Amino acid sequence: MENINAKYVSQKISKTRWKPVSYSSLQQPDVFATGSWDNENNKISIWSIGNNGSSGTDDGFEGDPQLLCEHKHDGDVLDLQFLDQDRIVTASSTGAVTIFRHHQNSQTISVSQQWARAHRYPCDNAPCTGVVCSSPEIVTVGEDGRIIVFRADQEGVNRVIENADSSTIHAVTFLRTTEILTVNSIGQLKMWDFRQQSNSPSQILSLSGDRVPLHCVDRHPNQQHIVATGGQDGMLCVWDVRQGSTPFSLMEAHSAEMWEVHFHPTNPDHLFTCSEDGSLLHWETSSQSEMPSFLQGGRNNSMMSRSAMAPVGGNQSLISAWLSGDSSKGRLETSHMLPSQTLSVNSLDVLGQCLVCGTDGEAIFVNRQIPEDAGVKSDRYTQLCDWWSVGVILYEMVVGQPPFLATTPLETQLKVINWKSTLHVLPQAKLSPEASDLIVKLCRGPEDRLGKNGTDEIKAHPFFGAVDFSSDLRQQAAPYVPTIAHSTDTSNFDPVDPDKLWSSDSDGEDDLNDTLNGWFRNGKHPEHAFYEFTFRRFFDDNGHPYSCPKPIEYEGYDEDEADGEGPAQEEAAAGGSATQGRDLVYV
Amino acid sequence: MEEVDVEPVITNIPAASHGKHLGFAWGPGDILLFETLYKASGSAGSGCAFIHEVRKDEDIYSPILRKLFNESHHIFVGLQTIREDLPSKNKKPQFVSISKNYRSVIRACMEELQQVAVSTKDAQVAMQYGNQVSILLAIELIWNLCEVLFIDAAPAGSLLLHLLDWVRLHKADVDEKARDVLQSESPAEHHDYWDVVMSYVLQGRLDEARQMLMKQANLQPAARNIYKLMDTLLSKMPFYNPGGNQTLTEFDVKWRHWHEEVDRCLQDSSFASNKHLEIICKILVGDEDTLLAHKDLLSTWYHFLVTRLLFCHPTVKPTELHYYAQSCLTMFLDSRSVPEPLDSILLAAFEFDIHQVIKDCSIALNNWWFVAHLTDLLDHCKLLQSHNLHFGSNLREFLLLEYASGLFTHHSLWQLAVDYFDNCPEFGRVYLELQIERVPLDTERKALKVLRICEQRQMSEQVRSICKVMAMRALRNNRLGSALSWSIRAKDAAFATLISERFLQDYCARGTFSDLDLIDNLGPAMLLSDRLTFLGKYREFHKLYGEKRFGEAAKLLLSLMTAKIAPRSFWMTLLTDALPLLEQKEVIFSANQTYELMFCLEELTSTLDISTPGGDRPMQEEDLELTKVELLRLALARNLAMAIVKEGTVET
Repeated sequence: MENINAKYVSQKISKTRWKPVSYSSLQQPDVFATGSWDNENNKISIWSIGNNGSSGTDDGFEGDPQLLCEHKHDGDVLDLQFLDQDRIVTASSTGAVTIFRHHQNSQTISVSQQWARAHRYPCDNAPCTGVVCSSPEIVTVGEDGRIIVFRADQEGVNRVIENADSSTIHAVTFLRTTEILTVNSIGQLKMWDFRQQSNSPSQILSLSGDRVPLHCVDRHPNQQHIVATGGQDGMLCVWDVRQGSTPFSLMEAHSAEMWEVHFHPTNPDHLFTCSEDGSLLHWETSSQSEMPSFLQGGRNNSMMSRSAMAPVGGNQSLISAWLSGDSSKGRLETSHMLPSQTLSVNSLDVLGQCLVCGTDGEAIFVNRQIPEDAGVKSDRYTQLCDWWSVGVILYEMVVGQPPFLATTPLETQLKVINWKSTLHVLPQAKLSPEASDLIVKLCRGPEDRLGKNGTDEIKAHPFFGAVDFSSDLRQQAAPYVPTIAHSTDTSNFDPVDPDKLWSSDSDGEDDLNDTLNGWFRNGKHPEHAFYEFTFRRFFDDNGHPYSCPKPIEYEGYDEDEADGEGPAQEEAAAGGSATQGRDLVYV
Repeated sequence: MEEVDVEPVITNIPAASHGKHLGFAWGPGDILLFETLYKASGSAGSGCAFIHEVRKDEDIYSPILRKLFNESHHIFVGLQTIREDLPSKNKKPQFVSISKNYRSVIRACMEELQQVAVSTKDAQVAMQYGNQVSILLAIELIWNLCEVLFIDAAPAGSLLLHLLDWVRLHKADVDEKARDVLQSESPAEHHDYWDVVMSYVLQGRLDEARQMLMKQANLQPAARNIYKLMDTLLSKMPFYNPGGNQTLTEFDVKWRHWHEEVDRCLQDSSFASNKHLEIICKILVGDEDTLLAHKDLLSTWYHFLVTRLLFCHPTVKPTELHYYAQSCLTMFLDSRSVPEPLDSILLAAFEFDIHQVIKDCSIALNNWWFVAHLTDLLDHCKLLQSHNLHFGSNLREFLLLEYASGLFTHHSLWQLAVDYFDNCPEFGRVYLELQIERVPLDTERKALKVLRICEQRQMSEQVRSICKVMAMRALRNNRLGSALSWSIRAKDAAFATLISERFLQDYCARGTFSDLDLIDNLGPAMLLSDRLTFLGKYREFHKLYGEKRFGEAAKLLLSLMTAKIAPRSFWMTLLTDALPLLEQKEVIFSANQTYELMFCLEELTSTLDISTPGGDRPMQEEDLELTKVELLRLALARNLAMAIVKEGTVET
């Protein structure tokens, strides 16, 4: 508590956000933005807490936030997000969506782009209540029940979903790159899939009966199916969006509206909530996970998302503590972070070891001692994980099935953990020595994984001998170009029957560990095996592929009915590394 | 009617010129003035279109003072939670520390204002901030004295020590001067040297005075002896130690001895060779003429008072203070004519007349912040009990209400006022009720915050009114779903009926329901109004029908009419909805149900005939209606026949 300093700022703070820090550096955030509300003249302001040492013995004045610059803002700032390092998107009560640019050299702010009256009624302005960005995309929601998609640097509006909600949408978050989640004033969570053209939600979840308005939502940084919401009654709800339509656990948190909920971005065992009742809560689950180091940490979404399964093998607990349901039994600890409660804490943001929050009492609090990582700092997740994924993809493409194929996600998870004994390059696949060598060199521990010393050591691998990396790969002819007769031509794909995919080998327990042999024995080609593995939504749907696959966007083709996955794969195989810009996330 | 204490200040309204008539309306912290339509005969000038707002309290709009309001609000709330039942002995340190918290907030604010005043280039702004600094300085001075005299209520002995601290804190320019002197090349020859030494002595900072004198002594080896003597006198002066085991009488005896010693030195003319040292010696014996000769160093009469007490009456009792204060004031101010408001406030404090202090402060200061908070604190110390106003409830509540009302007029600070109203037991709630309804609601988030305030205090009337405002706004913007949500929250049945009606109209017009996400999830909220129940149930019928659960659908449809949930005007639509069910191959309505349907139809047609005489509607529409009825009758008859046959058949 001693580490939290109050700074009175003469404006009621509605939003606070840390400026993002680059992922690779171990830097702590030191600049944040605030937005005010209910002032005659509202402002957005940029503050610095200086970077003079983060030792715990500071007398509290050293890190006092200093105003760097501010800019007038029309209407209340109802939401505020950093688009990138120096651009900020705000949602205004006038319905406007504005991008501000923070000029670091001169310490000034200017308006760089504005969509006035983006949210509106026929003859009045409608407040824009929430904004979320995934650069360059900006999604906003408002009291008018609209969802609007913008693109930074594009003047017009990308897409509007009119009447997305009959009541007010209070908050929005990205679930995946193409899916968002909104919460509204009648207690519903709605999932929207932008790949679909229809203007109705792909799923609606709600608390049964009570219709308690929800005010905030945050997604678990690693396990995309876990979502936390906070509502008018101050309850914290944790949902598993894959399962059922009601929340997984409900926890009493505050005595009034919960305005914001945030998972710690790199240490999601910690969660923070703030409320109208003037309290700021720190939630901590104690999960004793002993994961292999390469599984730990942030970005490997797919891997972590599987952990909703029951713990297996004794000490290997990958279960998400947030879904374990026994929060009441002392596994969940909460503590108050503010010394006393008076006026509403409207917003909080947490990044690295720093937390900032702003109140209606016109004070900003900064705490610099948030536990950042469950493990040691050096265990941080690095880019090396992507090379593991490349290995897995390569395996899939050249073998025709994923390396850790199993009947249930749980088993796949086990196989991944025990990769040393489960990863085999099968002789039936008749791989070239270069290919199997590359796979083995990529799919291994991070200590000696190829790529550890830079991309060049991968490019130099004999497997890529025929590829000329010196000039622009995109300008070169692809080694294999599939013939596509028309935009809905699916002849390049094997037919898929998702049900048979799993039914064929569920007869015996004994051959579970050797699925491939089992499949060959059944005389069936493991068609479309990569189908489940390559796409993160595999994990998001509990291992069951979509019964009706949605096309991914593929340049040069209209969105068609075809299974869009294939071409991207083949091109990736051909080009070696040309997988950028696709909606693919590798294991 | 009480007499007016001071003449009211005159504010000139630009629009008001001769012959114009002004109307006005009181606000909580301001007055609105406008020119009336009244035209004096002969004058035909055009009226002024402006409304003037006259504010009593400008301070509330200062961005820096906002910090004072916010931070002190925090302290105020903390003070209210100190438990009543604690013995007062335990509470005193708490009250003193709260008082110090308040003062430190004032200090912080003052420092920031000072900084801005110095750094700004705009002369007017600098002056404005400068004025605010001096007001805060005065406030803190008064508060500190009140803390010493009333809250801490120091007894004889320690009283003087506290007063010395008080003077030292507010006469800090000595330290600045001393720094200049010490930083110069030769401090002992600096032109301010003796001023600094004298100031130290006058404030009883004898150790510092001795150190300064040492520098001079080193410079004048010839006069070493008298410097040595002075040093001994200074070092021997006794100070009362409240923590020690020395009694006040013992101290008094000791002090008298020392005083006699100093007096002896003076009589001996020991310091005759050095006029500065002689003056110091005279100060030490408390010679009034010498003290008054240093008015410029004392600068205020209360400094004079404390110095005089220090060297003449160090064991002064609180009850004797007023006598010395009064005489010091008269002695010090003889050249000037009238004491300033600050002087009389301090004098009143020395006289322990708390009410006079508060009254004078209320008149002299332009904001309620100080008096409201000080009075509240004193009231908690149980110092104000005997006094009751002949208006309102009591002094504390009156001042808090005034302050809070002022806050409520502010665009942003209204939230702070809520806690002040909460702590006014008698009229706070009424004030809050009247004010909270008038908060402008720009966004739903603000409305939610206001609602939360009302709901926490069971102000159901206000909750309803706020929800209604929001519902009406939503309705005006054609957001039926939102409007319905708001009326459900307010449990406003009449409004829910109105909105349900709109939903049904929309359905009739378009043939589809809008806002299904809401209507499908009404849950128990459906029971709020009959019409809303009908809306929910009717939608349920459509859902069942869509899912081809005809049996249940039919039952529901019938019950909507027989249980009189459906409005009569909607029956025709319901019966028409029954048509496709009647026309199904399978028998869905049983014979009994069919009878009931027929009964409904007859009831409807009979009332229709009476209520709508032929000429009212165009022929075409009437024909259509008639055909519909005919069709229904036919379908009902056919269904009845089928049902009877089916029910009469023994299943094999």
